[in-house]
Amino acid sequence: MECEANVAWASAYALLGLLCLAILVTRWTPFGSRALDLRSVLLSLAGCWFGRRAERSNRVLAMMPAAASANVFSSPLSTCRAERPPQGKPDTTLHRPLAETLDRVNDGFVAFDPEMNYTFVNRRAGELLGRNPEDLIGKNYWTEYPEAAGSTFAEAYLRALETLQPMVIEDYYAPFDRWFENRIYPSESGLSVFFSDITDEKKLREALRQSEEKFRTVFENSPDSIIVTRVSDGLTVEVNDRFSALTGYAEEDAIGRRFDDLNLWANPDDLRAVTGRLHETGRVRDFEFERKLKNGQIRNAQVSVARCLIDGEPHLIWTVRDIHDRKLAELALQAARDQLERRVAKRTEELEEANDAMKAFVYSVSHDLRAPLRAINGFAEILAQSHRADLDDEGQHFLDNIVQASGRMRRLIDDLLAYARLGTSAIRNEPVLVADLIAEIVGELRPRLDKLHACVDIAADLPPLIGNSTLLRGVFLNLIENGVSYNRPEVPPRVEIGWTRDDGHVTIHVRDNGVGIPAEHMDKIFRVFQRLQSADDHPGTGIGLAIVRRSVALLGGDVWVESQVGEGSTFFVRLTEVPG
Amino acid sequence: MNPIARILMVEDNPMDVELALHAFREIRLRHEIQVVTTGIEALDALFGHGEFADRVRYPLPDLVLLDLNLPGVDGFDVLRRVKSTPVLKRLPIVILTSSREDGDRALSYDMGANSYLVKPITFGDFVDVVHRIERYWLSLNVGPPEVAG
Repeated sequence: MECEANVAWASAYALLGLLCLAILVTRWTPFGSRALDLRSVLLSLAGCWFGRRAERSNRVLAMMPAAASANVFSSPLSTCRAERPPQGKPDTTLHRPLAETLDRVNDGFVAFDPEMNYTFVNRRAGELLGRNPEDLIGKNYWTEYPEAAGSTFAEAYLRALETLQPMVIEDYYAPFDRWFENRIYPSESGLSVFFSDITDEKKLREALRQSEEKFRTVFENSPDSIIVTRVSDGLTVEVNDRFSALTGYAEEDAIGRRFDDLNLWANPDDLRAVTGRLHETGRVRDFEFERKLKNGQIRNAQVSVARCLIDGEPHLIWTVRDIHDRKLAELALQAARDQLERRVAKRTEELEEANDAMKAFVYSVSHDLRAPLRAINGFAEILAQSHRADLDDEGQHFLDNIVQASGRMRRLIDDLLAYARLGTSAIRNEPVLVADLIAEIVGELRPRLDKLHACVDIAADLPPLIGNSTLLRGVFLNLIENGVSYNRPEVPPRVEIGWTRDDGHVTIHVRDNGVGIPAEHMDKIFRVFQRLQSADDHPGTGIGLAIVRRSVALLGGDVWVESQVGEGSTFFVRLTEVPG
Repeated sequence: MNPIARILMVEDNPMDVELALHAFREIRLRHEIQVVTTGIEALDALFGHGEFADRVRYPLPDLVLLDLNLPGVDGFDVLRRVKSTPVLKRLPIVILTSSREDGDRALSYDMGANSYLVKPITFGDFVDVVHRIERYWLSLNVGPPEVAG
């Protein structure tokens, strides 16, 4: 009877050993083909025993009815070890190899009796627990690891013992600062626990989870459509909500269909270009194309494509941005710009026309007015010379008036035309030899100067200035003429022309000893037709200074005056000096 | 003593013509003056056409005073025609105009005008100009050899 019982124990013991081996070996990856052979043998044996429900280690739980684990890993095992098993072949052949086998395994394996005393500890468990396995045997879990009380693992052990239901748990074990997976197999005679340190795996899983979460967030929240397709068959694997919102194709419409077949491309050439570029360079950046929506509408879009491995398989991630509104805005902006350009061109044309009309007017006035003027003046003078004797004093006086008036009219027309011509043609600024210019003007005025007994002093070394000789001629002619015209009675006019230099500019002054300008009129003198003296006293036209000011302004310079009534006036003209 | 010269004056404005003739009288011009009032007449006179075909009666002038502002065929047309005709082009042509415009001056010289004078408005100045024309062009200046008509 005892023999039979022993045999029964031994065979159950052996089979369970086989079972354990089966479990361990399937998780026993580094041992290669040998393990596989062993595994298949053991599994088939185990399968025979358990009625072929064991295919994979994951099914271990299912194939572990309480009965199968009954009473095996409690005292009999420790008893076996302690007692040196009897000569019965089953236990001697398996006892040491099993222990050795278990020692070689990567997972920690411990066994407890129902009071949670350690009945078996493999080498790996010893490593993970930081204890010598032999020291732990017989010790109690609660006394050895009081800090474990209340932990998920401890609770699980207790629950397993209570319910006799196997379980797998994963948790962070604070005392060791590591994550463990425990596969707990209870029976009435105790508990078997396979545990492994899954910290690294956990970290990896966590990192992967976070990465996936990041991707998921981007995927779901992107303002652009994102489509994931598989390279091997071109099928659409995933689309984000935005894709559906923008294109009108629901997720069901797209997933599982070839991306090309979705008819999103208004021009097939575009798709060909994109796939071509993908083949060449492996990615596409900001390719503009026309996207066709489900409702047939065509909108401008921009696509970027990149390769990506998902589950080891090449995929493509397509990001499509709707740029239709932007393009419309760009077109509108361009249209507005074009329109503005056209308006500017038209306005310029109008201005040029007005300018041409003005020039034509100036030209025509120049001629049409002068001819009758010549006649008036001419015949009046002839009368005055040749027929003076025929006229009485009054007649002669009237004639003199006509001559004088026509003379004024001529000067008026000349000045008016000169002023009107200012700024009608482009002024080209160039170096002007001012010294020569002023000498020339004085030479021309010589008859007049002599008549007035006027004298003009020109300072030496007047430097060349940047300007326009025609305009400058007008400026200095008027200033010098004014200088000699507005003289004090009985005082011979004296005009002095000098200059000073400052910071790249030269200021020329024309100083006279004439009547001077009253302070209250200073701001008015540069205006057109502004005259401070009566026509009889001084033959100005009132336009001379207006010409001066306008000309200097056109040259980019400055003109101003200082004056003292009864002493004279000084006009200053500041222009740029010729560099170097 | 210089021989009597012939001046052809081309001027459309009758008052200007009158003033000019008066001015010439003032300076006691010895030379002959012929006045035509249109460009066509000027061309006829110079090319010996129409009423001017009789070269004995209307020989070529020694000096032309040419206004630019003529109706129809204007001074430029006359100038261009004359200065592009092989023999006539030697004829001294003095532009006498009221225009001081750069454009008119440039064109005149480009077309070969021998001189460019601006008519002064004041009669006294005009007499002075006329006097100088006579002194320079008909006394000082040595004209081209016989210009065959």
